Amino acid sequence: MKGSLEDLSVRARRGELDEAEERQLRLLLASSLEGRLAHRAGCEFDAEDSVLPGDDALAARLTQRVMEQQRHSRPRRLRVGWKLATAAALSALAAAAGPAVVERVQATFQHSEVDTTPAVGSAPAMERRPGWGHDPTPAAPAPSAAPEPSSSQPDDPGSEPTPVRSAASGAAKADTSDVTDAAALFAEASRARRQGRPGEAVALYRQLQQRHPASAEARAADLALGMLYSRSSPSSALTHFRRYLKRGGPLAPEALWGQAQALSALGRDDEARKIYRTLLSRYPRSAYANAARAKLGTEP
Amino acid sequence: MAAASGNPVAVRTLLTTIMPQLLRVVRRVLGPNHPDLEDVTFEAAQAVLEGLPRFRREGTVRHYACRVAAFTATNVRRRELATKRKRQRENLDLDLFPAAAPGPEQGAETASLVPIVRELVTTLPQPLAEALTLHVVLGYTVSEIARSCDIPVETVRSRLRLARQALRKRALGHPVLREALEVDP
Repeated sequence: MKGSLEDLSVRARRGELDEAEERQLRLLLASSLEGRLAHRAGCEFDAEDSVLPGDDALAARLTQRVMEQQRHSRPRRLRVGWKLATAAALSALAAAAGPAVVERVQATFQHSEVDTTPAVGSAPAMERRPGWGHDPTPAAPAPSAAPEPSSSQPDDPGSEPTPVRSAASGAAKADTSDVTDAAALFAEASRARRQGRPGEAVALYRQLQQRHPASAEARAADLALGMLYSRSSPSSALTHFRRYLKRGGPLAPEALWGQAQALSALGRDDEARKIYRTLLSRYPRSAYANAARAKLGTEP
Repeated sequence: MAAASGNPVAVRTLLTTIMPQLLRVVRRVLGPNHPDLEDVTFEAAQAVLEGLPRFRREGTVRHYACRVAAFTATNVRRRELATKRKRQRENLDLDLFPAAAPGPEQGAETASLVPIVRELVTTLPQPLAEALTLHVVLGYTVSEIARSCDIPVETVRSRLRLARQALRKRALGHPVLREALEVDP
């Protein structure tokens, strides 16, 4: 039914019609007000539809959120099944071998459960984790990662006090609270940014980076800081975008775009063009690709 | 399908592929400035994964995912409408209720059919709303809708006809829009 009004309308919206079909569509539309309305409405939706800046980041963030949700919901089901199976096995063993063996198996079971469920304490925090994006495997901050000193930020006043953690807390507990604190700080900073309080947002992002330098949120904070500084202080923005790229992350196209914008704002157009080319070569299908092509095409 | 069995690599690949589509569908149904765009897309992605084991491959995975996203977003709009009506019944101050998108009256002022379609998607019976969403909002052909919803082509045509009649009735109720349509070639 290629000749029906509905299908011709859709195919016209997709730009698939030849001349004869276009004529046919015009005739059909002229004879049907309802068809004309539906076609026009569809075209209006198509015109409204565009990839907005930040869509790549938003899609990456959403993917990460869903993956985290999956990761924390699935083991719970598995654990229940595993516990049931183990309980059945324990019953069988109890009947067969007596209390001594049961005690030994129970001890093994408890030990294994602790070992295989490191994310139990951090699960709620991870589910709530907001942000621009996260490390692909951020179940917990890497304790072995060397914290980057806050003085590495050239534009960092270094005046904010760094709270000292209680040494009494155990390593596992510290890891969990670290994730929670980083996530909570990031959420608070992002809220401030969204609600138009950039000064507060900057302070919170910096606090986050000082307290949890190895966390995924600290890395994402570099991108957020870059964006916050992009108008007022392009050189600071440049520093943050570069640092994000140096550490790596899923929002590299955003960071490259921000870096190029900052360079342009500083009048370093040649370097900006180089970054646009890098963006195009590394991420030719990103939301910024077309804009980067436009920049390369129009700029001298 | 590996993603349906929960393989994390496959799930991530699927999500990375479909997430921009889901975002686009939710944005089209809710409007680009809806405050819950991200959360609704998240909800839609979860619904896609949950429904994957039951996916009967009537259409492509992309169509299935887009349909789920459209359904999720439409439900959000319906919930919002229900809340709004409840507040109206309770005589609360409607100015306190955040307007997610311009209402149909505002849309008519700019001679746009988009707000009217978004409102119809919320108020029409579910089968008609779904046909209208897939055809007008997302640009599916009749056969694509039939495959995606696993219903006969003629049923789709019938639903679209009724939905278009509703669209006509609503559009012609606005003088500015009626005038604009008359000058439209």
